Amino acid sequence: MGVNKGLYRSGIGIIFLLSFLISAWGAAADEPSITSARIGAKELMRQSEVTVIKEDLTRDREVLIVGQAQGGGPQVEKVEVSLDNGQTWKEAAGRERWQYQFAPLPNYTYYLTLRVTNADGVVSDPKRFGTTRLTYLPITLTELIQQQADELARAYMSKNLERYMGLISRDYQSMPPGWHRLRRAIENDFRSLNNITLRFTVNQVFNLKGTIMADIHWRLTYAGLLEPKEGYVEIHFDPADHLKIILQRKDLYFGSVIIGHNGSVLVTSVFGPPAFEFTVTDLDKIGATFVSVRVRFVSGGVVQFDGNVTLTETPPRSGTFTGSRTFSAFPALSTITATYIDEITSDWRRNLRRTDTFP
Amino acid sequence: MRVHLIWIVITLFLIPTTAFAIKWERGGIDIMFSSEVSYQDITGNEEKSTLQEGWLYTENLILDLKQELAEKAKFQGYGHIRSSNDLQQQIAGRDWMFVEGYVRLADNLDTPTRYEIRAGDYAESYTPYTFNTSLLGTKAFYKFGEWAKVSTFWGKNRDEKLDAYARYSAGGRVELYYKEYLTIGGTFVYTDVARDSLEAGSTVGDQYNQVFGADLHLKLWQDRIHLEAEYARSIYNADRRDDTLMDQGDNAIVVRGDISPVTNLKISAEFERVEPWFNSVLGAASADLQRSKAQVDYTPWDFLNTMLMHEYSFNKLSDHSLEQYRTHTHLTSFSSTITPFLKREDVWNSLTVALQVDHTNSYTDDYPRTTDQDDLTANCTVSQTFPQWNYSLGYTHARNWNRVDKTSEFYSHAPTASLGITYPWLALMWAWTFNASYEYKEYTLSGLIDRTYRGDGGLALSYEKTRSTLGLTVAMEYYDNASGSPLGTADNMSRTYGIAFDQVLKETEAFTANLTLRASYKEYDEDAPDQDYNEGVYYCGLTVKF
Repeated sequence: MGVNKGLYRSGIGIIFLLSFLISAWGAAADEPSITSARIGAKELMRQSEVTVIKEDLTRDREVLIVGQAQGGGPQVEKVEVSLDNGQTWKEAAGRERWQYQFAPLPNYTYYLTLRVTNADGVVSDPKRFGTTRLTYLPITLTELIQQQADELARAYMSKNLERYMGLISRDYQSMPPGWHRLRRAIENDFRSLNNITLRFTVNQVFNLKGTIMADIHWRLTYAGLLEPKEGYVEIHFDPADHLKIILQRKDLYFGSVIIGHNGSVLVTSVFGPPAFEFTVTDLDKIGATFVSVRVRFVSGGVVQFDGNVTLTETPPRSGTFTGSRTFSAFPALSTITATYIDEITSDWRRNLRRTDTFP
Repeated sequence: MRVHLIWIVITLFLIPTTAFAIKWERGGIDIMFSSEVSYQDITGNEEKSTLQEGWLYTENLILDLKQELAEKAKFQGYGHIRSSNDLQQQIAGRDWMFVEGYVRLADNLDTPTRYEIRAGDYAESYTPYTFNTSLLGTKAFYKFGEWAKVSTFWGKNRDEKLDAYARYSAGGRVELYYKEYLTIGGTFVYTDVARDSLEAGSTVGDQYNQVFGADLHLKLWQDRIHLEAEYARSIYNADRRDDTLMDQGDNAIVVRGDISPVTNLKISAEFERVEPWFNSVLGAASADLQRSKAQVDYTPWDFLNTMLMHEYSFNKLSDHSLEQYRTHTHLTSFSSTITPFLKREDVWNSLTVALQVDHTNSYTDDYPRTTDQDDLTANCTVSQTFPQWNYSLGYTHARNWNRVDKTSEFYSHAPTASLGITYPWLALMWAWTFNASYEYKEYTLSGLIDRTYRGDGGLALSYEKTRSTLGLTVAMEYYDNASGSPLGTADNMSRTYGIAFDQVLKETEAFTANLTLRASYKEYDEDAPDQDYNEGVYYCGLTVKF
């Protein structure tokens, strides 16, 4: 019976797969179509929204759209461009390889769509290309990145989690790794911080293939912080996805890096078995429940233990974390070192390491 | 400060006479100068403001020289200098700073295709596991026909004094191509902290790291199958001054692929394993994590897109891990975009409904567990665009279940609305924007409630004939922090009013001058004694480019 059910499910799966394949070949029937369309390095195919800036214009201050088309058998007769979602059409120069240029109005949104006519007179459906909202902003790339950074700061200051995460790419890499982990870190910030003021200043912008990398200075305050924090964060923006952020590193303005008080770590021996107690005091971590310290136990010049020990906040919401670890033996000339990282930057650049060694 | 005000006035008068282009037959130099002066007035509890009281100035000078030496040899020299007493614009309190500078030679300055040599500030992106960041130094690449590309770089951290150490990095990469189907890459990168540069306050030791990487990109079946794989191995030593620290070597691997058997279906899978001792050279890899991800993107009809993704990850991959316990995380995500009236020829064809549901479950292997929680977020947004206006309505529900710390369990509701209106009237272009949102968050165990009200509105008025733009903004936010709780922070409210005026003074092909006048006022009220403060910012900026 079980086998029959399995076969039945497999059969349904195969039918679905075959139907996809059949519809694929049907959809791929030879029709005239646009095969590529770009403005400089900016892809237009399957893009719902593209922003054009000063650097994208030609020397004549025009937008130049360059692309390729195929006639689906017969040759391409003409390629037409519409900037008003198909209400009016203008013919592009060229055929299989075509181009079209126009002088854009600043801050105006064009609804770009394209169609191809082949030698048999068959005209492609503009909906196959879709509609791309094309907006020309008369600003430089640095100014555009500054706008995006300002938007990020506004979302963070107003503790608007959805607005903030809307500026983050789903392919976000680090730090922390992944969109969902970042969301949790930001949510924790919003839970614990009030009256946040955050300002970004964009210093350097590098336009690389597939990413825009920016070095940005930030300055941050919030309620209870003794003096403003500041640092330099490197942010990578995705030019193909509304300049959403795909990576943040160096001095992070969010998450566990936010500190106002200097933490401390203390190592003490415990009578009885050779055990050691570790105590971290860090008022910034009030309510964190757990922190960890890195412990190295060196005996006779050989590392016997090197790992993290988790400390528990005792009593709760006190900012004091304690924990202990037992060692099988503690001969003479042995040392035990506990290191607590009070600030984390992704490249370990500005970490404050609090270290205590016993004896 | 008076000097800067006088300088702006002088520049304004000089504009008509300095309107010339520094261009020549096969090159030219663009000069951009901006001078900004502002007065910031803070009253009340000044310590709560990030702004500095008093007069502030910022001056930027950018020189951009381009020269065509030959048909395939183009030169560029770029320099950006800034002078400011604004802490936000300074680096480590320096009045003068060299923000960016480089020289480069390439076959094409916009998109070099054959070769490029660059010295000064630069960024380079090889692969995520090896190198993708910015440095001060030099880089170059050369492409041999359509089959090979060789790249190399050398550089150091930009601000040795600020970092309290000097870190040198160098490396190279070779890429081999077979048509557009196959790319094979090999990378070697190393980084080394100079021991004699370390100071008492240095936060790194005598660190050394080297990474070898190999990667492959494959496109098959008329671009319907993509396969990417990367392997890297690092050898790392945190501090070579410490004899007890040995070199640590570990590996990273990622394999990802996608197949589109039909045009409306894409199936993707990804596997990544980064071992604990793996250290990329300033790269972005996530250390000590293994994850597997599967995703299906399906568009059954033109008006419906769907995406379903599941990812499972865990850390503490081996005994090399510093973690005591393994943490497992499951992520499930579903999104869908529906444009139900796509085929209609009227305004309804832009109606879009977007759904997004995310579920995260994470737990540790220890007992009792230090982490054991679920998060659920569901968002729905409806938006529509009309010829002169657009709107968006959204709602987000979030729920957290925390089996370790019940006090932090919560659920929240957050509706949002925004409206944009743009229309011409009285020879002016009027652009209105309004945003409003509300958030209700209740902690289930204690019953504590956080409420947030946000609202902002803006008007941008532009007059194309004289190239004038006037902007007005009003924003208001109110936070009701954990009402009724003695632990909650005091409720607060902020109101911001702003007015800005931009005027293009002159714009020709060779010369542009913009004037910006801006004033803003922020009131911050807190339901606690002596916490209120007000900020007034009065700004004047002039930008000249020729």
